[in-house]
Amino acid sequence: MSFLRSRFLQAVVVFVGAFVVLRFGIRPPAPWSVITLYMAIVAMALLIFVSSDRDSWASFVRPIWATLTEPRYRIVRAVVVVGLPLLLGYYAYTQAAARPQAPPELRAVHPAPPDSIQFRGKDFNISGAENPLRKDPDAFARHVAAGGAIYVRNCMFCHGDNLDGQGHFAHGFNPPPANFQDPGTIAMLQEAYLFWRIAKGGPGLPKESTPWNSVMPAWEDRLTEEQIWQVIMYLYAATGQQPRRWEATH
Amino acid sequence: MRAAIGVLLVLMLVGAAAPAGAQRGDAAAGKGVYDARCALCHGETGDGNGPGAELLSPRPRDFTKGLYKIRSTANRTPTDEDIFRVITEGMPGTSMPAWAVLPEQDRWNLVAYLKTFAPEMFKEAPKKVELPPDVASSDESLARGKEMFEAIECHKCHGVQGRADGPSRPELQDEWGHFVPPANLAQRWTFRGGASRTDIATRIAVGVLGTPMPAFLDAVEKPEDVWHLTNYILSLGPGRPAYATLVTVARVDEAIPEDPAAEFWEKVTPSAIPLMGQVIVDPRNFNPSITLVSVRAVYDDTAIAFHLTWDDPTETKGDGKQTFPDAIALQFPPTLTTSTERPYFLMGDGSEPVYLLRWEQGKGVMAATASGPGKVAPLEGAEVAGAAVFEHGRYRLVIKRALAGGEGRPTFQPALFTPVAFQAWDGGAGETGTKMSLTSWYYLRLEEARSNRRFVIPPVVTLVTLAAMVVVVRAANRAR
Repeated sequence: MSFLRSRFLQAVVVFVGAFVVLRFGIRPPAPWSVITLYMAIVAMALLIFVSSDRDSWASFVRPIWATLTEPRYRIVRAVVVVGLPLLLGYYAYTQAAARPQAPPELRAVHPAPPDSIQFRGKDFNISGAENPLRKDPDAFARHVAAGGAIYVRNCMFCHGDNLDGQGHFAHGFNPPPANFQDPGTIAMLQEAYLFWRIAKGGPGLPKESTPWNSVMPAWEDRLTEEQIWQVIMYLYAATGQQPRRWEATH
Repeated sequence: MRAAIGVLLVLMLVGAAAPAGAQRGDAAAGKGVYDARCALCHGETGDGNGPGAELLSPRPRDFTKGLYKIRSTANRTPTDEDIFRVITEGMPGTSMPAWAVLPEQDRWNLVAYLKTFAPEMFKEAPKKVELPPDVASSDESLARGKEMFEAIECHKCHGVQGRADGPSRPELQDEWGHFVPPANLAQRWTFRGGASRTDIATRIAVGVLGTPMPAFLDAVEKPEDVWHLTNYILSLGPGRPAYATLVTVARVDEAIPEDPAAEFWEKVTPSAIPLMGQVIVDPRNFNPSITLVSVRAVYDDTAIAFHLTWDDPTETKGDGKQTFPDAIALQFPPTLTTSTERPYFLMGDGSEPVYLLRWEQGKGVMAATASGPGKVAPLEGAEVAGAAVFEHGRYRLVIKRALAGGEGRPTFQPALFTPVAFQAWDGGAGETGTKMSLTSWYYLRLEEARSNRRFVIPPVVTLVTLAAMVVVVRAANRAR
């Protein structure tokens, strides 16, 4: 096992190991720019490590030096001298021949809600509004059941049976339908915010949220005020999330 | 001692038999999961009549009949594993999602609970079907499979090319009297019971219970014909389309043919675009007929042409009451800019209309404008050429237009990311107006003449590195 003591081999093993962990050990995958940055840091740390004393550095350089000079490594040398340039040439080709990708759609995911909206022709306050159906705890189960029926007949096709944004139409649309199980969606929004999004849909989004591309319908055309509050109660009940509260204003 | 060994042996035998005989799930616990997760479609009483049911096609399973479509048994009783698998993996092409997100024990509990809706159907023990040994695909196997496909009359329902366009299609009904379309064998990612070799062979062997799909294991000449048929079915289409996010319009020098069947089009790389039901304005379309369109596009100095391929089981002009003309459309903003702002994806609106390149059965190709869902007005002037052909459940269409546009008509330019959307109508399935399938905005891009960079830079890189390597080696040897 003496080869394990070779500084060069140790350095290679650590470098490759770090790459494998960064590339395959992180979910969701880290972008290449981040991986490149971390690998540069790993390379620098390795250089500091192998050059920490004279013996270590000599042990690190020995195999490289041997490959470059010793007659018995002539074949290895030839392979490196020819192979490395070819590899770099191939990389340059893949970069130069890359085809353009669709431009990313930059959009604000949770834009600031308006203070009030027009709901079926009447003024409707969003800011500070609470779900009126929660006032009567006895009716909770009834409202959630009604909300479930509304959900399955309207929302499920995109947002999915499991409320995870994986409905049968989901894969065809960009931006994708919201995933209500994700703590980054309804759990960080007030119920009144959801009311605004459901009532006004994609067409009611401000420009920074690309309203022309959102397929979310404006449900005020189809659902009553009570039905929208009911389906909101279902969303929270079925996912086990809690709505965000309005911050107290003084 | 001998008695002890005997007892041990009996215990071991019982232990080995347990997975088949004993319940892995608890029906009472399964009820809780069922009521929370399944009842909205399948109904609280398991009769398939939950609040969501009437909008779905195929409809949710009625468990009270105890008929299970997907099973691996030669008799009518499915194994627990069969039911467990459908819960876990869902049924592709239907509204049944994969419930792998539920804990495994919950899914076994569900299996136990589902069986209580029709206990009499589970009195008979499931009898696993025995498939003959697998036969690898080969030219002979495919030829034999095709021969069998005709001999046992698969094409009567599934169509000559397997695109669900057989003559018996309109008469097909399930056990509950609902129309049930034959599987489109060219789109096997929609196979209800999965698309692996064993899945397909098993469906052929034991059929799909509750539907007109019979068991064929005894109808084929030799049992291994099941595998020849499987190989043939696998040859009818791709495993799963690779959906595109960008449609690249290739630059060509040769003349662009208007005949969709011309060999020219075979050489152009297609982009697969998924289409979804329009569920925003009435009438809504929860179960769209056309779910995929394959787009090929090319341009030359003066013209741009789109070649579209899509499956439609019937070529329909329509009677105007139940059926309507088949149609398809490409949608663009009326003027192309580098701005990311676009008209509303659903046919624009009053302030921002869209431009359409449209084909309709019986009317041919045309340019049109739309200022809202269904508000389509043809544009004056014959600026569009093209033709469609229909063959064995598939349309192919060419729409060709000048690159230069004009008032309300986009001018296509190379290298510009151009918004495009697609809309399709299967008139035979009653689709017309806003009852359609559609996409939101995609991009298409006219490829500029490719520079020679990719042939120049790599050799330079290679030569420079090679020179550097040689210098290093020589320097090292000299230093020694």
